[in-house]
Amino acid sequence: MGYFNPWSVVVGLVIPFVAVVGGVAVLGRSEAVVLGMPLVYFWVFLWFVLTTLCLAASWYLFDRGDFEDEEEV
Amino acid sequence: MATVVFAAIILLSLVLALLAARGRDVLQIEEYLVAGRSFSGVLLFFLAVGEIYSIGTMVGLPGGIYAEGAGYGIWFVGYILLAYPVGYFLAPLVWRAGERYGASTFPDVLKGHYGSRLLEVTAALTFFAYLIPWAQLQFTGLQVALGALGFGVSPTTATAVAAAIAFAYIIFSGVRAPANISILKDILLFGAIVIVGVAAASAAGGISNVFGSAEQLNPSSLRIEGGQAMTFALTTIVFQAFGFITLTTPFIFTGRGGHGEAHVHRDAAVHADVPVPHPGRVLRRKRGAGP
Repeated sequence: MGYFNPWSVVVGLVIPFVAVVGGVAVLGRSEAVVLGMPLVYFWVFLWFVLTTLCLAASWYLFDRGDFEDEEEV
Repeated sequence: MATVVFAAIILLSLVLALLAARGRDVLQIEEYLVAGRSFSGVLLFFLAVGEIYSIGTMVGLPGGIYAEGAGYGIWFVGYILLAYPVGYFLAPLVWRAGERYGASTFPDVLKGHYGSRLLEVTAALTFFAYLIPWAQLQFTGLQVALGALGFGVSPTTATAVAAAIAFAYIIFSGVRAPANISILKDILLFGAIVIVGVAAASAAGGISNVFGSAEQLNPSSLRIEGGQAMTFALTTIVFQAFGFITLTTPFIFTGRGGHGEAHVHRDAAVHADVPVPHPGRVLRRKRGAGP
């Protein structure tokens, strides 16, 4: 039996890592500008918000049930 | 004026540190190091946020971009961002192991789980070795910040006074001091970041001009130019995403458990002689499920 929920790992860990590390690798040299920011800066700032949403999704969709006893306090 | 504000904030932080110990027997080691595992989620949040901000946030990161280009800026924000997904999965395990083995520090967990004194001492020495250059950077940054305030004190004096104040926090109140102060620190730093950001953008006449000025000082501050800068940024982001959350785990042990945790704790004591391949596997189960 795995002890992390695999879907939670995909949403909460794999997606942010691939998006940030992969995104920086692909967009790091781009000369595009978004909202006044070079694309690579915009991308990482965007993932500040999206990573938070990913972790919220992991918690509310997959992991919360395993911790329900702690929620009572 | 700046001196008065600065002195008032330092005094306020000392008062908060002293008040933190009120009514607590901080000489008990578990109280001193992990506050009896009593911190609420809100206080843990402030401690976790406080771990992000150091003098590096205000001085090191902007300076790093000017000195070394965009790779430094992206590395800095990237690793801290990715440290939290790692922590999301790792921290509950570390907390449970801490509860199970009565651990107050990460080396305690390793000692409890693997029964190896050698591993415990090696881990403790490694943490210590890592913290020395970190502390040295903090003091260097502090000298830069205090120098900008224009107090005219020597760097050595400034460092000694700062170290004495930080030491005083810990002596009087243990971990409760940084916990209380982190609330003040987080609010002040969040305000400072917003105000500095808005001030810089409006002084430059827009965000794109901020980047334009940075480019004039260092042409590589907008993009990660060159293979070496890219390799540095990518590998260091991944390495430090794990390292950051491991090095800053001590505050995790201060967290308070719920009913399920108390049950698990008793359960673990009853079955202490049963070999457990992985602490989290048993402890993760819901209340009543048993090992």
